[in-house]
Amino acid sequence: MSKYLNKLKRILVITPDAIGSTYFQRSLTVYLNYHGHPTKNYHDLCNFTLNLPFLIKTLSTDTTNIVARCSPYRSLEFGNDTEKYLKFCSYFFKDIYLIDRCSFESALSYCNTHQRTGVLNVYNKEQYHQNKNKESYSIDKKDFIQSLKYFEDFYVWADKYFPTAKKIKHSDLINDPDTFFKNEFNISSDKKLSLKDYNIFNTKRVRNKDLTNYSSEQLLKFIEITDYIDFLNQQNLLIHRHKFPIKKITLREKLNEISNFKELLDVYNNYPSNHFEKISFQQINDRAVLEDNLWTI
Amino acid sequence: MSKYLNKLKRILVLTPDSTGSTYFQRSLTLYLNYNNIPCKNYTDISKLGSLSNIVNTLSKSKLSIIGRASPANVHQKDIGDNHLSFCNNFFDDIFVIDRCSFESTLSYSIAKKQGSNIYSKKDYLEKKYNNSYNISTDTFIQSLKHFEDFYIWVDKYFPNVTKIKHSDLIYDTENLYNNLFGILDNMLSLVDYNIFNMRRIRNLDTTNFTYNQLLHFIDISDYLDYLIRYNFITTYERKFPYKKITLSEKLKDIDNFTELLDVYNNYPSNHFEKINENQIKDLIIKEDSFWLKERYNNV
Repeated sequence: MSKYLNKLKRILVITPDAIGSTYFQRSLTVYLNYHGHPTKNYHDLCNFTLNLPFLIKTLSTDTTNIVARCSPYRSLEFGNDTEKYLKFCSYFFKDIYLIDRCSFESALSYCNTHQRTGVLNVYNKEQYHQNKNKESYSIDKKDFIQSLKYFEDFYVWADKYFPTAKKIKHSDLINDPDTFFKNEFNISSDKKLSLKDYNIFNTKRVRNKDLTNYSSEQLLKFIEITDYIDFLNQQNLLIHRHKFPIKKITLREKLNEISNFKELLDVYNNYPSNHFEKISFQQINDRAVLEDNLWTI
Repeated sequence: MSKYLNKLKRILVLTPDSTGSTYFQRSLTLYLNYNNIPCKNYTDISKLGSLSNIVNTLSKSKLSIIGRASPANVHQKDIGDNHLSFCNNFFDDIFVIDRCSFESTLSYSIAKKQGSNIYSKKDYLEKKYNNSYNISTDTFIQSLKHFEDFYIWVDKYFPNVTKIKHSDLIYDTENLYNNLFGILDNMLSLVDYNIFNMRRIRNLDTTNFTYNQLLHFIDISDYLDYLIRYNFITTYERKFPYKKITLSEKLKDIDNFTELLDVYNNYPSNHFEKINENQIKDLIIKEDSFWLKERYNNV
């Protein structure tokens, strides 16, 4: 065993939104605290303060682990200090992540949020039902292209300010967050927490899907996790009125509901970018099957 | 069916703390919203700031309103008498929770040390006393004065309040609210939710709760998150209070319980009802049978 104390974790996710960063931050905060590593999620640092010296002092003297996010559009809120802010982030945070998610799907999610409901994430059943798409819809091609530009700009920004950011696969984050976090942050713990099961349960629950396969013991475990998240919120470690995000739209739901899905896919595949990976309709279908198998809906 | 819209409900609870007012406010907010009566819990209305701000905010609300007022917060902010006149005129239903003052005073004295309510299992386990403890008679007498002052304040400013029994609030929450607010088809099981959580946070057996009940509890917790998300419950850090200390836990853990009971029974007051040890034992039997009895499917 090392004679030194464990170093505090300083974890930053850089994000354009719609790539799973909220889920990453909150599930990681729950995971680390649950396994005995006190951690505070500052969400976007711009939410905390726009006073850079105060931000630096607060983060530097924080004796808990830190999870935070930084995005190009919110960084501009620092005005003349934007560059300094980004340099500070790049210097202060030891683990800087970028979630590697299919840009086509991210752009669809982004458009759905910004052109339709305005709600980026859902956090409870009532909110899910208020914001779900009740009928098929189309996404305006121009808006979609703007979203692609937005994502491309984000990757250029990430290359410029955070060239050493580590990419993590969105599928690893969703398919098995517990194992991913355990390996990534070298966590050793006997306590049982399954964020994956909790996520699947909530995805099904808010959609009124059959839950009879769950045992009472599992339900009690989910109640315990929710209670623990309430505790973190009470202790100001999640610092938000929104607690834990629930899957809003699956890929299958996008496929079924977006009437010009194939047209948008063509637009995506023909968009000039060094960052977007081309994807065929068949690959999307295969991925939707994989995702359906995860959620079992 | 009436051709008029339902009137908005404007509900105020007067409280010295430690009488169950937080449970009243939150469970009622949950109950009314769940039964399609949009309702916002403002916690203590003095937190809205100046009197003009309070009047402005509450008068323009298109939701039913639940608030609380307490002498400490009203007078501390120097908005005293006008504030109270406004409350008297504005709120249609003004309540005081009628709880045994001895028990309230014990709770209040304990809360001075460790905070008043608990909202999660970990919160409970961190705050619960693991050993027996003492409440100094000075602290207890100060607390008694606090309660006596509260009742005098109520008599002076709110002579027409409705008293609701603490036992009805805890043991029969749904029926109390059904009767007070005329709701006929309530599907919310607040009593079971409360009992389940009281047992859960203490690691007591919960196997008698059915699968459907557990799903209902998950649904309630999720609905509370919705109310917090949309600011119907204004304090997002605190969701729903759970039973912190039962009377039998007080009797078992407070070393000088009997001494404090003597102090209470000898305290000069027109508001405190005397209580003897046998009556306390009866209260304990009743309370323990409520929290700890075997429960079967009620949902």
